[in-house]
Amino acid sequence: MAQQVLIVEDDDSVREAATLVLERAGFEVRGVDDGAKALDEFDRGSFDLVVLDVMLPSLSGFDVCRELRSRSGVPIVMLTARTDTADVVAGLELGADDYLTKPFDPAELAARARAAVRRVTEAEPPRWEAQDLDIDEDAFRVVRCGVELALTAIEFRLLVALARHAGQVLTREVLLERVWGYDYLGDSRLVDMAVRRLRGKLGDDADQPTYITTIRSVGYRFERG
Amino acid sequence: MTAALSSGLLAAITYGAASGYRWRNFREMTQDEVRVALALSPRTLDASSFERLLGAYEKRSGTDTIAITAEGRVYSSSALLGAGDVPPALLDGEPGALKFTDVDHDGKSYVLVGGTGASEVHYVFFFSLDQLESSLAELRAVLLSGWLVIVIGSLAIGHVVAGRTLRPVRQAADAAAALAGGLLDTRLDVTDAKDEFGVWAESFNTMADALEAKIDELARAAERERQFTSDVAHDLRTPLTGMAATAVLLQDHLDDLPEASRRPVAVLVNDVARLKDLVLDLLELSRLDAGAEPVDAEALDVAVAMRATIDSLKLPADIDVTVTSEPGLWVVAARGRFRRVLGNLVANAATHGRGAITVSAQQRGSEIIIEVFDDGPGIPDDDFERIFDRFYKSDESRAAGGSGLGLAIAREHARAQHGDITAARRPEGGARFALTLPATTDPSDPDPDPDTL
Repeated sequence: MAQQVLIVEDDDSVREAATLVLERAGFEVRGVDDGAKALDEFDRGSFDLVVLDVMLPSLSGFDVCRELRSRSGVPIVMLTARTDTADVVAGLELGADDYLTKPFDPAELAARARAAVRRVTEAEPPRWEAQDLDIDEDAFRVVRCGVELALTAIEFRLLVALARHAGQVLTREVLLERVWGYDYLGDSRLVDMAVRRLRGKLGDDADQPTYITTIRSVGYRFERG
Repeated sequence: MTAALSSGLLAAITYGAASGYRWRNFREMTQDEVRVALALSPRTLDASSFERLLGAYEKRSGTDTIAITAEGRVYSSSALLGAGDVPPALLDGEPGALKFTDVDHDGKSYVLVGGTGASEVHYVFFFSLDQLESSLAELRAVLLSGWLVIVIGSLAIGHVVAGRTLRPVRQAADAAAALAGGLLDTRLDVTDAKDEFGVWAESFNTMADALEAKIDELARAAERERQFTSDVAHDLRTPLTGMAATAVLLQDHLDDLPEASRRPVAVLVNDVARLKDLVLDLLELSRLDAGAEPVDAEALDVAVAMRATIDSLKLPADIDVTVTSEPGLWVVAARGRFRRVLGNLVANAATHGRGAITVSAQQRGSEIIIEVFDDGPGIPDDDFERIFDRFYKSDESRAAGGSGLGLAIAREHARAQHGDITAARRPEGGARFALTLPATTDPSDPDPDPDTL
């Protein structure tokens, strides 16, 4: 079955264009024009991806993002009008996985969407352990002491990428490529933000880390424990 | 100086008049005395009488006298004076006429008055000038010191007055300089609005007020214009997004369109793409102007960054790009901006060149220099600086499209990262663009080169 995308965008022509692009890319698309309707639709359906405009009437894009995150780990790609730090960082902090600035290139939108829903496929066994974490790549689940951690798809992929190379430093460029599908010159803030969120969920202290250590100017390392 | 001159002149005149007066006075006095003496001179005198007479003269007017009788006998009231002290000229002359002369005798000055008295006796009276001279000397001294006092006094007063007069002038000069230098709120204190300087100060202040207001107005107008451009570009985003995306999709469907529609649609799609590029460039430039974006600089591997940039451009297959780089080069730059700058330079080379592009990187001292060479006609008119102007388009560029903002934006980004871009002509023809950025070392290198830190 084709992957389901929910597009939340108040401008009709943008929404239509984005719908066309994603349908071309093989998704099934449902579009809504405001935040309240978006949350409604999301609860009623089961979506693999949400494309969300930051500027919406009534409920703001950020509020919608926060709400969605409280309910699910579904991949979220934001559409922003500015690349300046405030908007992007705010969105990433709230849990968005990636962003595109308007006016976007249709090919870019399709690429981001595909990258966001991509499953991690590794040759090694899909169920394994890292420290006290039980990782199930097929089910996209991480369990610790019997409790499942609520990670988003991107956060899960990030954890897997780091943990599979426990004890090794992975540069931001490598992570950008493996987890998001960007090239060397992608926005490294994506990585920093996602690590921060992941740490939050693992209960890891950046200054005295158990799981993930920052190697300044180089990258991140998952500790063997 | 005026005071000195005029008081000096006054003193001199005073002195001249006073001394002239004293002299005349003296002569008249001596004349009168002598005439009286002669008129009263006795007709017959013997030696002792003469002595008594001369003694009396001496006592009365303090003068020494010499008497010479017709026979040639000489009587003198003073042992120091004798016939030899009488100039002969004094003895000639008619009876009743007086003769005057000046003489120095023993360091003292005298006026000699000679005349003939009764019985043809010549009398010569020696009037000492001592007293006259000492009182004149006194007068001279008084006038001279008075003059000096006036000169010094007027110098002092003049200095103070000039200082007082000049200080406001100096203040005014300072205020004008401060205003010219940009301190638009400079004003002069007006202590007395009615004196000449007060009037001047007030008009200065009025002028400064007007100037400040005008400059404020101009600054606000420029800011409004900048804001307007930024707002317009920003508002164009949303309508453009739908339009641009749809245009791209339409392009893919050209073959499905009826023959007659294909050409117009192709043109439309092309125009939409150009409009989108222009708006994006304007937005970027207005963000750069506002200085709103922080520069997220990191250490980047030069070779990898160059390759990633060129790959992302997706140049057509007939463009041949040769990439060379010294090994182990690292640069301090922001990822997105690096891509933007180098991407612009390489895209330009692809547009203006004939298909062969070379991109090479090397380190020189504390800088990384990335050069982009093309084999096109090179930069027209050797306008190596003008091409970086906003909206500058050479004739060629006009045909190729583009907003004319590319190089301006690229340069702003380069400079924001503490680098720059320069243009030149290759000796073998074609253009050379050099991007310089600060060098650094591989951050994971435990043994960094101290020169580039």
